[in-house]
Amino acid sequence: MLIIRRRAGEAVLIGPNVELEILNIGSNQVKLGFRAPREVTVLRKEIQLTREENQAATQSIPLTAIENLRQALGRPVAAKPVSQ
Amino acid sequence: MPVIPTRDFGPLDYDPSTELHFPQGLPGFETQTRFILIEKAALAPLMFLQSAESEALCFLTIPVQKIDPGYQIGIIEEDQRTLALEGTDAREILFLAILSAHANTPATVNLLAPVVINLKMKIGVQAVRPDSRYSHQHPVPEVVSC
Repeated sequence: MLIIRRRAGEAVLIGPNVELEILNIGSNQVKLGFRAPREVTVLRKEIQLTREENQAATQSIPLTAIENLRQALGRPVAAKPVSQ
Repeated sequence: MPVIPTRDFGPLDYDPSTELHFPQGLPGFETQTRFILIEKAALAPLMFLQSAESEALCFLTIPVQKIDPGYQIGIIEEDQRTLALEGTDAREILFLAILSAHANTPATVNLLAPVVINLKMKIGVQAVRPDSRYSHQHPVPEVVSC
């Protein structure tokens, strides 16, 4: 991992088109500003983890598992949308 | 009453006024903005977050409280605004964790990004935390495992 020390107001360049500026340094948070072409995606890493997890969640729950669950728990009762 | 096709329960009667609006969709499913929440007494506490636009898209969820009663809420300001949390009674806010179950491995839930729903306003957001306090693959305790 490349490590560079920077102060607020200073910047680093990533590749030919991306600039990352340190806008503000708080006690437990750093505010970053990005200048990048529209086609470059800048995301909080947690969002990417969640995106992958969501995709896995929709694909991985086998319908048969839910069916088994339903049977194990007895006869299906009428499902209903949640209302207030 | 209109009928909605669902992945796990076939066509269901539903009241369109109970539809939930997810203005940003969910990460990975940004174009899906309309969902309904289905609960079934026999499968409690599981809840099904079914897309109102795609029959095949359904998330299996469980209230975060059932997984971790001491869960510390962490929602970024932007999501708080989208959800109109300010001034909303906490009892109107539902926190759901999306379940992921892979064959032959224990089920996990995403506590990094709970689905937060303002039941009064019918608005939902998958509120990805700003920190790394909780895992996106938190093991499901035995008590509630299926």
